[in-house]
Amino acid sequence: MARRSRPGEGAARPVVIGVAVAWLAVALALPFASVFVAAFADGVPAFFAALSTPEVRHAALLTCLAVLSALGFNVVFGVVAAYAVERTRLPGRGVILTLLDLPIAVSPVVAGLMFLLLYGRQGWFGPLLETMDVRIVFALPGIMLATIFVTLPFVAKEVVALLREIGPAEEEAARTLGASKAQTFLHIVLPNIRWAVFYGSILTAARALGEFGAVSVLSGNLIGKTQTMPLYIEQAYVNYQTTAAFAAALPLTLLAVLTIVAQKALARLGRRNGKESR
Amino acid sequence: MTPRHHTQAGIRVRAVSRSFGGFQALRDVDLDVRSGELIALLGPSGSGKTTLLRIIAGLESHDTGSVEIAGRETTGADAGAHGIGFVFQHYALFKHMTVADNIGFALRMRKAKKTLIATRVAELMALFRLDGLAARYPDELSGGQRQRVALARALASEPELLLLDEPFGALDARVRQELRRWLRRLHDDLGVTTVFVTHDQEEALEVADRIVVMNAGRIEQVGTPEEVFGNPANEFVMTFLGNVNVFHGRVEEDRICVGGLALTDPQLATRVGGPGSVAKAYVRPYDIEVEPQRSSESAVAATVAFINPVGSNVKVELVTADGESVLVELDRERHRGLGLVRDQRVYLRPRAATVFPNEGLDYSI
Repeated sequence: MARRSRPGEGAARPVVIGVAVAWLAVALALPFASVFVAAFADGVPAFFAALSTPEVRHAALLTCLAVLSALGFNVVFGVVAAYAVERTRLPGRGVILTLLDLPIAVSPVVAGLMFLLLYGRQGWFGPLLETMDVRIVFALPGIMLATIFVTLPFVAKEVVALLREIGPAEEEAARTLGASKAQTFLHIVLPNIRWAVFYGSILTAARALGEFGAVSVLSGNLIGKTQTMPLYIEQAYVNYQTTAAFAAALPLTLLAVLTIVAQKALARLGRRNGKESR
Repeated sequence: MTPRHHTQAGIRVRAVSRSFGGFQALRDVDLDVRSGELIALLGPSGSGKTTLLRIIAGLESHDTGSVEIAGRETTGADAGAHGIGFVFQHYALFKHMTVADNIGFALRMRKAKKTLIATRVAELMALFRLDGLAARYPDELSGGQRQRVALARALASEPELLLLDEPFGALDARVRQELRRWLRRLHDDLGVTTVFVTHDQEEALEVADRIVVMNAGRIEQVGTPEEVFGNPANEFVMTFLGNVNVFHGRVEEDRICVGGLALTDPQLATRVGGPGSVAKAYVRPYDIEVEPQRSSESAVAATVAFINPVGSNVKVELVTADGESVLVELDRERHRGLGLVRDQRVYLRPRAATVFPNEGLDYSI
């Protein structure tokens, strides 16, 4: 087969590749390496000591809870919302789709402020929450709320895209074969969307792990109480505790790498899975 | 192995209409399908045939009218409530399930005993020549195998009614031919009332007991293949089924005169107005005689434009003196006898015609 020359081929090719590699090195590899270097700058014992303070452990726990709550909520919400949008004639489907874009469009800090305005002591529901003795702002529920909000679109959008692509034929087939709506959902819909749910979950987890802005506003950043890992890292860094900051940053960085690897692997699996439908 | 005899159900459709947004997919449709019949819904795309099938299946609701299956009225959009097997255009096999699990799905859903499911699946796999494929996934099958799995799956729970949406549309020509005859045999063996949708007139004419010709959301004609082909109810049916030449003419007594031709149609009087009215005469390509010399008054001169000698008949395209193009089919022997060549001048003499009044034809293909 004759190949037509495209931009980037021929003489320009080594230059383009060179620039791309150099840029990757400067923008990605070097910063990544620097986290390792800085984390172990004072030696291995100092690294582990920095990671085993009560503040770090508490921050890690909070971050884990935030991630788990975001995963738990968004898997359920994402599947239900996507199914409602793509497979029902419920009114308000367009509204759901629009709302799913909101967390991406709105700055996380602004999102945090919005919740503060609603649930803060001076907020709309503040007095009501106070009489019920429920604390959302500057407490764990606030952290979870902020994390759930910023990760809201990831599972839902993946599942919406997949449901749209595969179409309703298999579900209709199941219905004609006597399956109830619940059986159809369980035996046909869920197996078909499982890769999209996994994929969306990974994106959700990655975003939840690193969320700073919205959580920072809503949690109040109280050390040992409402401080998550990203908040801890930032505070340690501005307080010149470089080793502590980078030691805490290292696990987050490794998790990010793991996420990308998992994402790529799943994308490949998903593609293969998608091919089966045709 | 003896195939099971399915119980049969008839279908009664009365005044059914359905629109999608501004598009009227079905307009006031009446249809009766007798139990045990094999019926084809034939029409161009957008004629409403698939919508009608989906409404019968309960996959789509109807705006007005009623649908009864085996005497029970269906309320629409309640697929699965009445014993119907449905075969989808692209099969819609469950791609995460094996062939055996696909076929056994209906029985699993109604919580049949495992041993019963296994026996029934094995039985169907044998009947549909799927032996050895039980553990395969749909993407590991050929088009014809997928089609047979879809049929086996639809028949697993012994439905009273089998509905097929363009069952052979996605297959290549050879497999399609084979499956067509096989569907006919299967229907004769099982006796299950069967309705299938097709846009392929040849498929409908070859397989079906009766054909429902649809156009623009309406039923144009219902009849046996002989009836719809030999005695079409209107211009649409005439032109949709098979090739046809059209001549514009004027009615004179019991004939229609087209240029120098005088054509007769036994039903002329019932179809068109009195003498002097304008009408169209439709002549099938095999109903035209080609003669090297003018043998009668009623013949029109034409020039051979193109000869296609491939197939059981030789197709000859000619152009009349008025510039109208005419298609003629000759059997091979007659063609040899005539020894036609391009640009040869000959005379055409139609043997039979079907006449319709000259009204606007409202259809699209």
